[in-house]
Amino acid sequence: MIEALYRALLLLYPAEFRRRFGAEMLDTARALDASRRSRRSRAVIDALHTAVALRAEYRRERRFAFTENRHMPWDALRRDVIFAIRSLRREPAFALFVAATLALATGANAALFGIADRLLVRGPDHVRDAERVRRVYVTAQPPGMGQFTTAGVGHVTYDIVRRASSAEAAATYAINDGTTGRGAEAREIKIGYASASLFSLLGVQPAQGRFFADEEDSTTGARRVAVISDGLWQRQFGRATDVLGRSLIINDDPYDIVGVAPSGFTGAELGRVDVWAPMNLLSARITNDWMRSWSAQWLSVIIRLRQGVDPDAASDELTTLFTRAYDGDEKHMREARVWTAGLGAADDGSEPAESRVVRWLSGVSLLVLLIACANVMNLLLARGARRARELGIRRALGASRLALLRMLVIESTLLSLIGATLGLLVAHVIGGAARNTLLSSIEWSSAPVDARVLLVSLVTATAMGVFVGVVPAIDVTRDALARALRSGVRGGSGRRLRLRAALTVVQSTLSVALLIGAGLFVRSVWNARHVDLGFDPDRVLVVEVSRASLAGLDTSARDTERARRRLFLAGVLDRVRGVPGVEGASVAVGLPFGNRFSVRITVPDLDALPQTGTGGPSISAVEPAYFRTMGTRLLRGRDFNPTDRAGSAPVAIISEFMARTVWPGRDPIGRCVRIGDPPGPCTTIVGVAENTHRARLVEAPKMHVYIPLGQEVGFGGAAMLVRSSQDAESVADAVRSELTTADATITFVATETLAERIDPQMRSWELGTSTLLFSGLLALVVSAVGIYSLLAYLVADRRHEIGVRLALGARVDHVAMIVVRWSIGMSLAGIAAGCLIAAALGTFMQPLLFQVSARDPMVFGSVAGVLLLVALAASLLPSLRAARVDPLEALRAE
Amino acid sequence: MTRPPVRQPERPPLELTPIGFEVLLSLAASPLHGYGIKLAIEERTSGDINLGSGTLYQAIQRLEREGLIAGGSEGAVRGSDPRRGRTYRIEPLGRASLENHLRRLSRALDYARAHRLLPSAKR
Repeated sequence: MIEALYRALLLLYPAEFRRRFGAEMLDTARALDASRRSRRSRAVIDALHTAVALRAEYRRERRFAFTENRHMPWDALRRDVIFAIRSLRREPAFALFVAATLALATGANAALFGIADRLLVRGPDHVRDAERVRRVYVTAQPPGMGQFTTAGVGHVTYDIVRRASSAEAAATYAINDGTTGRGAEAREIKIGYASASLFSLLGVQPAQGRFFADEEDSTTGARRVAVISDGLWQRQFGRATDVLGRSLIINDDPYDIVGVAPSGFTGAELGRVDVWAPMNLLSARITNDWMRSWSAQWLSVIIRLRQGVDPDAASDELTTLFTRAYDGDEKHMREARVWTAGLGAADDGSEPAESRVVRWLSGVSLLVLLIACANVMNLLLARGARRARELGIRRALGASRLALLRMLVIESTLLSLIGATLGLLVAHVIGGAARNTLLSSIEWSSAPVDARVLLVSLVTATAMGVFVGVVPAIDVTRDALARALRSGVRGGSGRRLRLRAALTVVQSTLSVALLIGAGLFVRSVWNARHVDLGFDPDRVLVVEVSRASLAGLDTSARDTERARRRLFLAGVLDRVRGVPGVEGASVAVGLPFGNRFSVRITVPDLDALPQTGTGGPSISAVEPAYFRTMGTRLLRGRDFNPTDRAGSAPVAIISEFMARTVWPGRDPIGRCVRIGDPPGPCTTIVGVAENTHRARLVEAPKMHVYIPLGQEVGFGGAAMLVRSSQDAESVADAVRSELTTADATITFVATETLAERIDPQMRSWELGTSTLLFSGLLALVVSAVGIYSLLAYLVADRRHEIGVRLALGARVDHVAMIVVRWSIGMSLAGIAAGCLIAAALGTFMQPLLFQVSARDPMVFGSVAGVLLLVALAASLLPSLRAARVDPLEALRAE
Repeated sequence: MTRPPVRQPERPPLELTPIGFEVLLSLAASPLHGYGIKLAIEERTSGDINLGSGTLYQAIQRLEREGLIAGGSEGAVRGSDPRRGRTYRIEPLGRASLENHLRRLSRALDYARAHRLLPSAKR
């Protein structure tokens, strides 16, 4: 026991002594174990006492040695740090302001770095050698359309890719929405249907159990096995240790859980996936000939290139294999090009909008950091002038200029590190908020502030501290001795003044540029929110039902049940219309921002439909109240009525764009079109509806055909639309309960407003707007402080001159105006430069904006006005002070 | 027996602290390791001086630095149980300093006895 105590006490001894004598002292301690308690106590006290004495002795020796040798750099550093702390404590307002400015700037940077790191650099977790893993794209030019690239391919393409010699491995997957559980416990989940090869290709290991094997994903009958995500394991099973082998209900079927994926695993994309299941379970539901169909395209295919294989060579091989294997009639498929891109690319092979915005925002946050640095530099210059006397005395006492420089740079670095530490807190808050609100579709597996962010922040802070401190330090230590002998603040060199003014102008310039960017994004968001979509997204609820599976029924029972289900939604409309708050309800197959069905339209007397560049016509089957429910105006002709249904004469309503494209200057009402391939019977056009956006906020008008519900052939999947008098969410619960009461086979009712379907497309603009606004406002505040501090300095510096002017009869308001003119002058310079920069960068920003020019004069003008106002406000106090200068006192303080 | 002649040290003998004196006295006859020094002192002073190891090694370090003793290689010392630990031996300067100190003590003892401050030594 005494030995253990001694071991602990030895830690109190100086390291050198401990190394030399520690072992022997422990031996002694062991011998003491057997002796009397009083001896042991005395020994312990003696050990403590000697430790203290030895430490004091060592400290004395070190100081002595340093004074003699000056060979202890750590001592000097420590001294400077302690001195810096004391010095900053004497000016807490200055230190606090600088730390806060740097905290906000570095915090924003750290938050963005964390996001950019994930989106642009790291990509999905758990991917080994990610540079060799690539997604397959097909580019073709269908008739009547421009070149069209897609990552969605069919199983037949997967088979082709698998055989390529440049691919070491190939895998395929599709992420779908589904439900788990039944009835009241039903929850929406994301299901990743994947080939068994996906996991080995990515190089991921299961956290528990196993992934599914090839035999379980056979094309003749895949097994219902599932690998759950770490998140689902926690949410649904409470991290139970016996989760393997338990059953999980997915889309009303039981699955056996065979494994748990590692935390953060999201496959080859960044979005959340709750469950992985064999791909062929999904394939069987797509269409009957899914193995050979060229038109069913529901899969993503990824490959791992062999070592040393050039991606272009791989693309050539894939194209050759594809075009050779294609056995259909479509020319554009025979001329298609198959190629690959990294996992970070979007569905059409280009950089995703989110990545582009994040890239921009990283640039923005760097700008903010620069502004903050300029401001801090300005403040340090001012502070240096205040300390001229102190520094001069130090020089006189023998401190070298290098020592002074080191001391000042350590001070600025310390401030920077404090700011950066506070900034991590800011980063945590901002990063978390940005992820949850604007980037919620991505699975964030690490915290907003993780090890990498920490490291980058630390390095940035240190570099920034040195950068920010060096220039003022060099300036301030120049002629420190001579300056100290001059009394008063007067005598600030012209050089320093020009430097400070330049820094202030730089701050203003950057603020203007940022605010212009923010203004443009704000306008984009506003425009996006007010786009005329052709319907009312906020008041319409989309209702889709999931049902118990038909397995277990014989064929005739299955057909009867299917027929009943097809007619169910239309049959229950009157009940839904009776729900309080519901203004109207309808059923449709083929909704905007939902399922899209293309169709072949033949017009008698026309060889082919005119080319529009926006693709061929699409089709929806709608119930008579559809247009009223959606808020889509009928421009000509009539709406469908209850007599237009299955079996009645075929009629159609077309979009206004189709009307003017196919029958320019003529009335399409009463004309005949033939729908389908081969062309169906003559369908009479009875009405023209206004154009609606079908898939994107930014969309050129398209040709669209509406036919009565019940007359559709070859496509299906009805959804109910409910229009409410207030916002759509308010009636969701009532509608849900009406539906579940009306049909016991319904397992889950999914409701979503049309606005929610469109929201994801707004996200990148919202992200841009939030960040730019925050940065712009921060920059504005910092600039205002910068202007104020410079003006205050100028007034103090020129007190004598002001006093002379006043003594010679100048009016007080004239003197005040001098200050205001300085302020306006600096701001105008900043505004001019800032506008030039913003205009120059406008070309790069334009693709990110929506229906607003990157050089919009209203935005530029407003920002200029704001900065002028801020500059005026900042000059208020200094100008008042200048006006109140007492000429006698100013002249006396010479 | 005749003692080997003391090599003349380069430096004059140093003043000794009481503990330093005791340590050198213990090492005068033969090298000892740390624990052995402690035991020797306790035995010689009949338990009056009981050094804590902190104090002991602090003194040993000081004596080493001043060149009065030197720490040798590890190994067992003849006559005591085998132990880990360095053995220390007295250096010429240490011996000279010890002798200097002893001479002074001896003169003081003679004076004390002559003035009946101490009982005479039993011969």
